[in-house]
Amino acid sequence: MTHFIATIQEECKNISALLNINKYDVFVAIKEDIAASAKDKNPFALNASSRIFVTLRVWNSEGQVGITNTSNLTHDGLVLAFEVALNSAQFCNTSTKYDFSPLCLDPILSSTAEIESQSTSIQELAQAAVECESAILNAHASIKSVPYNKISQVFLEHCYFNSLNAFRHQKTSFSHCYFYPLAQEENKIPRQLGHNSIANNFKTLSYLQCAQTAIEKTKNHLNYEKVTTGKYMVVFSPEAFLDLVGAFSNFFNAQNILDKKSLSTTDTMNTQLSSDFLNIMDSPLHEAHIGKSFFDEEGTPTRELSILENGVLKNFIHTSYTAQVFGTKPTGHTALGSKLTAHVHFLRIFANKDSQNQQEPNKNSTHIYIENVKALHAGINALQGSFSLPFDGFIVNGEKRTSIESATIAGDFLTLLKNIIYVSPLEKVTSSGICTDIWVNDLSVTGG
Amino acid sequence: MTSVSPSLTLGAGIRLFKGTEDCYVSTNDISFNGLKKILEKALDIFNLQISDNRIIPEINLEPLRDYGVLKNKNNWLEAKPPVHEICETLLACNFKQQNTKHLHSSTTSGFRDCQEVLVASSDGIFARDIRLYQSLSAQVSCLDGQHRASCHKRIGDSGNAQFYEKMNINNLTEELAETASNMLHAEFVTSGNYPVVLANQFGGVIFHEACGHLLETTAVQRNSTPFANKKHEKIAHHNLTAWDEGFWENGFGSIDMDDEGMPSQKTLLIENGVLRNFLSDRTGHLLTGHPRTGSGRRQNYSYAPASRMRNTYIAPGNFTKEDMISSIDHGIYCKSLGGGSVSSTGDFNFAVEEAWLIENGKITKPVKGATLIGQAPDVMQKISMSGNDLQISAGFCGSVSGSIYVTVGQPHIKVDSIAVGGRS
Repeated sequence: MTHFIATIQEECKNISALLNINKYDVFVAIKEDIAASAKDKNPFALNASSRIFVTLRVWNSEGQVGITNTSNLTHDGLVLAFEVALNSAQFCNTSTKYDFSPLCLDPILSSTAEIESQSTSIQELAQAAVECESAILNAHASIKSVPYNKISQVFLEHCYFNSLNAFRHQKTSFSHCYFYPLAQEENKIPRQLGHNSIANNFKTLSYLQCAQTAIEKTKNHLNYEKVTTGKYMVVFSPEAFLDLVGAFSNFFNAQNILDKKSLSTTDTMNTQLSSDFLNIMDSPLHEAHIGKSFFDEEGTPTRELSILENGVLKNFIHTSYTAQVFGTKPTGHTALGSKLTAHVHFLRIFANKDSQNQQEPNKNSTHIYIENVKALHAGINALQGSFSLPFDGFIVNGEKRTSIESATIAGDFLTLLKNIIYVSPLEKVTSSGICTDIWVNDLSVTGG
Repeated sequence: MTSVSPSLTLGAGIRLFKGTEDCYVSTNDISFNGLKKILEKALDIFNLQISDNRIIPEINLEPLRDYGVLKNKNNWLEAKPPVHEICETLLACNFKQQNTKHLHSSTTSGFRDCQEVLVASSDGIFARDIRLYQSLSAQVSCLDGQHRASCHKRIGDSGNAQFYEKMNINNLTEELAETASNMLHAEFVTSGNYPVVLANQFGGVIFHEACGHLLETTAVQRNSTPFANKKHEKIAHHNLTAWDEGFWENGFGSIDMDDEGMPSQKTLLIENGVLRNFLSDRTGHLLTGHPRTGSGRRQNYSYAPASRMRNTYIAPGNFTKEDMISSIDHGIYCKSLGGGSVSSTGDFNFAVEEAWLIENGKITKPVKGATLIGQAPDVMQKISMSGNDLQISAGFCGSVSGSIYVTVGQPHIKVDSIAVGGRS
């Protein structure tokens, strides 16, 4: 594809000259993926796709910027995209001054960083999916199907270039699988738990182990009880807490603050948002992060960024535009969508081991363990800071753990941060980040 | 204006069937070589090859069934307003929202999606459609000390080039301001089981999530619906009848043909509580035997079509809203619902954006933080009253074949008992 990217680069140069466009930048995303599922011990839903998307920004003579993306990469398609972007630039607010990232020419770890990948056939994925589905179906009489299961292999190639001759390019790959068995015993309600795994490629993907974990999780919830509605001490699993922080990431997102769509304001910087034993950082280059990006969609190198340090808000994530407004440097978090937005890469949430205020809670006291939260798109109101989410979990009473039939947990995110009473020192690597068990006091749980 | 962001998408996909198995390969390279490549890839998945190096198999395609011509749609692209007129509408809407009390922020966004779809298949189907979807979404966020409230409303339709010219932004902004104002200082609802009245229009999302998805053959073929073997059985209260219509004039979920080239149909889902039909696409028909209903839909070429809802609604009954409210001593009136979801186990949940307490047959005070939680088969039996005021609303639905435009709708309905999650 390197030749293809050079062709696109040359096309963009010629078209911009033809249209008298002096300033532009381009982000190219190339994705090749294959995926397979299994149904009744046969291959099912075999898919493959090959897609290339180009997102381009052009500046008009007034300094206004227009953005367009296209998947039509013929000469005519690219000309149209440049023309459309130029036309849309006239609607850009003249008081908003966009520019290239000031770091787009800075060196990165490797300007053509490549991650070793191995090719796999879709038949191999299908065979593995059937093997896993069969193992799950044979594992327990109550498991009658695995409605959601999939193994995929994805190759990605990203490239950024601009009219200043900045050029970034990287290849990466990952392989992903998930299995969600559906179990039902007589006179009981159906139960569905699952697990997902990710690796750099299919050869290193632990799909059978993933299936085994899905079996164990499902079996753990076959015998369940109703939970009494009330306030509880709650322990979030690493996966559940990462989901929650991700859903409320507007509290450290500079673009959201400018849009007044954040739980923070500029004044929130350096204030204590949680107890002093909680740390949150974004670690895009962490060795455990599969499919890491070395630069964002404006060509800014990605880097580690401390967000919450001992409970104090230390940094916002920035695009080049918000960095310019806030008088700081971009942090490598830009995504080019309908407008510039910032997003986190790979959160690491961990305990401040130096804190004197943290005391290990009595783990034998009655509490609720939340294995995973569900339906975030429906149960999160990120602007209000409120959440009300169904979850899978357990009532823990001493040594006894009993699955909860169905329940929701509700609260206010900023209050939750304040009510954290313990951050376990045991960090767990998940597909979306690294986190520990987080203990929170006084959360409302409604039984179904 | 913060952004105007055009997106130009072009691509194709090929689906092969071998017995009841199928595979799907897509690309955005629609040159001859690009298409040949995905055909070869699809054949390779089934260990097949093009015989005698032939690319075009001997199939007799029907004469092009062109809905662009048949429904006089080809002029839509010219008739739609220029971008600056849409911008003016959005700015006017945002300007009106400045009157909202305790306003913290307001956002108005609009989109227009023009699609040209061409379907050819080896059973002879050859059809073209043009689709035009437009929508406006407004959101306000209010702040007063520690009290926060945010609410949003979307309107949208299809096949109506004059959508932006004809819309009434006054109603939209006034409703939003009223909801935000009501909810800003509302107390949190007390968790528990309540009788509930769900408002018409977007209230229909509860049927969409709690039942509609479970009547798609996509769910039947994955063994992920409790209704799989219930055709012709009673699955809901006898007062409940529900439809899924392929074409409702200007409905956000309207299509003349589905993404498999089949003309859309009006499908009776539930009649007086009895399950009559599933929504089925080609794969669903092959795997489950349920007849196709013109419901094979997808976001775009990068997804294989799957059975999906279109304009789905609960049919009107004979009751009035007042009949329902007055029948409740202590319950909740859900005036505005947010999003929701349903799992394979039939568990569903919905956020309630604007809720009111019903006390002694009267709507009294606003309450916030309510979530409706339940089991689909259970709640369907508890929809005991349907009102006479059916209204529909535009929405988006995300599922196996991507995000598509749908209509949800219902009259006011009463659910005898449902778990309401809250904070106190």
